Amino acid sequence: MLRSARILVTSENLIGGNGQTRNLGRRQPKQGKPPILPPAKKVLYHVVHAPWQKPEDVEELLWRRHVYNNAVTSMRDVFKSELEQKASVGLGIDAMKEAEAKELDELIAENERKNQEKAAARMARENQDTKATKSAILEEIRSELEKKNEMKKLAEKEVLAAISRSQHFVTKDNLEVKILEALEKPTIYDFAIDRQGNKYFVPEPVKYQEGTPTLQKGRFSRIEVPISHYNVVI
Amino acid sequence: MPFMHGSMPLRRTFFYLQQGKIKFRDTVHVFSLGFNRNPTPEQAGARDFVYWHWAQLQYHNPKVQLVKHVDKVITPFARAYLEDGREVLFDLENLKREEIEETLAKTLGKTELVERRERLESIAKLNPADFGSKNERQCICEVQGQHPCTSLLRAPKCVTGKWRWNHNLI
Repeated sequence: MLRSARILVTSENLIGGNGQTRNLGRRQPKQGKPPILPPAKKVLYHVVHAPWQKPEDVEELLWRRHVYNNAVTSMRDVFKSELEQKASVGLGIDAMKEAEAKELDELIAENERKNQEKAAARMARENQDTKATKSAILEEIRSELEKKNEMKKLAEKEVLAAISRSQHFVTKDNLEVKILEALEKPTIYDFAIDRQGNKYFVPEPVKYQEGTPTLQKGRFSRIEVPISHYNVVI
Repeated sequence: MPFMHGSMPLRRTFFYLQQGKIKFRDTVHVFSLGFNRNPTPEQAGARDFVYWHWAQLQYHNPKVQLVKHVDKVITPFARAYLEDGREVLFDLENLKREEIEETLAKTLGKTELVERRERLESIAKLNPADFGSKNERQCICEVQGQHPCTSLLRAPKCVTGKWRWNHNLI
């Protein structure tokens, strides 16, 4: 019985007599401000009466306040006039800004002058370089032309020589004559050379075979003539 | 690690960054520099300047746009775009990197006059009633007679936001 009564009491505590719950759980608190409390009894209708000061003291303090305020105002005026005077003479911030702008202009002008000097120098240098390159190219062209000219002269000479040689060339007109000449006088290109530079030509072939021809013993290209029969040309 | 060899790590130290001489005026908005990566001896100064002083420029001029033109033109140049629309051109041919630095600092850098003016302006701007990291005091709690910050002295419970007068209501 006792235990059950205790339990009942605790449950009443949790749920208040006015039906409100103490939000001890994890629920969010309600929004809104608390109501205005009436002033406490101690404060209400309790007027503090400051004790009256002596009139001499009040007068003295007022005078001192006036003196202090006047001093501060005059000091402000003095500083203001000082700043204004400085500005009028040309020592103010604005004057300094103007001087700065002027200085910057001068520096930029100086820089521009340097740039122009450099540009002029570069132009001169480039002109010089261009001239040198041009002369080098012209020199190369000249040497090339000279070489070509020489080659041309040589070629001319060659052509003239060929033309002069062409009188003895075989043509359709003189073909028969040349063939007969060749048969009469065959040119021999078959020769040997020794260390001294002597050329040993094979003997001229006989035009008409006389007697009985010898039997071929070796290869056809092999010449069966002893070297003592060769025509020596030094 | 190849990045840690040679002069590469040296020029990125904080101390080296602080040694930069070029502090542009407030009128300079954009600064561009053209250089060649494989330069002739006349053009080498601009390349060296970029290698040695570009990080310093960035460090000292955080509000200036810095542009590099790599291998765009033959002659190395620098061009600054000013606030009033003017353009200042520098011819950097035949200049060493020290000379380039000196030229830029002299022409577009802050001179003695500018620094003096800025110092005076900062003094004039200073208001003892302001609070913050850039002012004389950080917080009102530093003023004598004011309530100190709660980090220094615990506030009464009724002043803190955690305190509730009626637990039933909220």
